[in-house]
Formats: sequence, structure tokens, C-alpha cells
Amino acid sequence: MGCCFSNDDDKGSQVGDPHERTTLLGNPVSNSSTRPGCDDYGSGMKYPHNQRADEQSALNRILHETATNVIDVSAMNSHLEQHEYLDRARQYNQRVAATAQKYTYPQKRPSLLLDLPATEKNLSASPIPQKDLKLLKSACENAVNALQEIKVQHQEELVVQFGIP
Amino acid sequence: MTFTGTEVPEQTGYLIINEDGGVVSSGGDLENDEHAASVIMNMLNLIEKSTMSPTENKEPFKRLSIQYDDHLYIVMVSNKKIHVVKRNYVPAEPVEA
Amino acid sequence: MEKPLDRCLDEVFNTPGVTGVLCADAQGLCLSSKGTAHPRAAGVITSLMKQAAQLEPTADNLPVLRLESESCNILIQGKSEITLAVYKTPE
Repeated sequence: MGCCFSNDDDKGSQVGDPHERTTLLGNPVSNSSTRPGCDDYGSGMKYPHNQRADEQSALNRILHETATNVIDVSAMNSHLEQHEYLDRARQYNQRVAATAQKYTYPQKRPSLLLDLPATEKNLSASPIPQKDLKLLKSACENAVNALQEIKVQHQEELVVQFGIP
Repeated sequence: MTFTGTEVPEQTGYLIINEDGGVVSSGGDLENDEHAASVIMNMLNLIEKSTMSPTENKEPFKRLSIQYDDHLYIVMVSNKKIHVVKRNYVPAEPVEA
Repeated sequence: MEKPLDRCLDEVFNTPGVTGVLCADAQGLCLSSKGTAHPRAAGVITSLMKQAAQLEPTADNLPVLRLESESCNILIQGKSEITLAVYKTPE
């Protein structure tokens, strides 16, 4: 039992200087609830009144703090009638719509082709004539060959120009 | 207008694409071909008509053909929708180099 | 220095029905243009061809493109880093 009494002595001095048994959070509510059973055995009889008062004041404090943090809507004076609700809703919607209109992306996209009726006839168009395909093919081959010639000549010209004092 | 492409000779598939690039209707070997739809959509929408027109007149284009060795795609716009038809194509004369 | 290319495009340009020719490189730079083909169109023609190449990426050859209006057909072909556009009057 000696250990219990020594504990009680500690508790008595807890209010004063902090030591290894003082809790970091100075909340009396958590202080009493987290106290190990061994303590209750000794202190239960010794400080019944004192502890209960602490607990009560802590609860009161929490209640008070909560009350100040809550905004009581029902207690406000601005009581809205049904038609006022509707009016405001309409007003807000209008403002949102007006603002949104400024930011709408223009839907018109460029299009290469003209919008035409008579789909079937147009889709039945004849393919590219062989004559044209041949023309393109030979022209492409010639152009590629011609381009290869350009590269060689170009390099020589650059060297010549740099050589001129 | 519901167009099924059946009237077009030698056709093997078709696509109808709306303004947003979504496939409205499709069939044949272009059935649900989202890839072809997006490529064709890009070809038509990235370019302003006038950029490519010949210098002396600014006539709009009415049809685009994409032709491979043995088949071709024909693309046109009607009623704000892009119509694509894929057709078999047999050269009238033998292809030579 | 671009004479060989010019000569080649002239050849095409002198074909009956052809009103313009344009040759662009892979970046869309206009290498040469003749007749009704405006150099400004070079970039667009190249990017159109690039898009078209994605239609069937596995195909052996690039497709040939044709854009038709009432009075002009534009034929476009791509080949190893260049794109060639031929402007023609429809037959």
C-alpha cells in the first residue's frame, strides 16, 4: 500500500511543478479517465469531491467552447420567405449564366469541306484517274532525285563563300 | 436522313461521324472504326478551307478522296455530319511504273 | 541550285490541265511552288499527308489524296520526306 500512498503524494504536488508524472496536456478530464486502476484504489476515497468538481468544470468549459463555435442559424434574424428563396435562386442562376457566357468556347471549328446535300451521288465519285496517279508518281520520283542533287551543290557553295576574303 | 451507304457501288464499309468526332453510324469493314474516324476528323478540322485554295479563287472543297492501291475512302460533309465510304477499287488499266 | 527540282516541277506544270504545283519537305517548308499553288499551303499540305498516313499505318504505300472543288482538284502524294501537290482543272 506504500506504493499507493506515494502515488497520492505525487498527485498532490502535481498542481505545482511539472515532473515525470505530469501529463503534457493539462486537461483534467483526460487526466482522471486515463489514470490507472491502482490510483483509483487509493484516491477514490481521498479526493472524491475535488475530482468531480474538476470534471464538471472541464465539461462545462467544453460545452461553452462548442457553443461559441456553433453558428445558430435558427436564432438569426434574417428569416426568408418562400418567395424570397425563389427570387434569390433565380438571381444567382442569372449571375452564373451571365458569367459562364463570357467563357464559353466558340464551337465553330474550321472545316476543310463544304456542307453539301446529295450524299450518295458525291460518295459514288470516280476514283483518281490512272493518268493522274502516274503523273504524280513520276513527278514525286523526279522531285526526290532532284532534291538529292540540291544537297550536294548546296554544300559546295557554302564552302566557296566562306573562302572569299 | 438515314444513310446506310448501300447505294454506293463497290463499297465495303462506311462511317458517319458527328461534329464532335463521335461515330453516329458505321458498317462493313469500317464498323466501329474509331481510329479511322479520328484520323479523318483531324484531317478535316485542323485546316481552314481557304489556306489550301488556289490563289485565284477561294472555292470551298466539296470532297476528299484518300486512295490506296486497291481501295479508296471518299469523305464529304452533309448536314453537319462527316460521311465516309470505303470502296474497293480496281484500276481500269494495269498499273505500271 | 534548285534547278533540277524546278525543271522537274516545270515538267508537271506544263502537263495539260495542271494549273499549279507545290513541293514541300517533311517539315512543311515550301521547296518550290508554281502557278496557282500558294507557298503558304505547303505546311497544310504536309500535315494533311501526315494525318492521312495514320489512316492505315500498315499499308505499303502512302495514299494519294484528292481534294475537289468546282473548278480545281488538288492531288497530293507523299514520298520519302517530300510532299507534292498538283493543282488541276477537273476533266
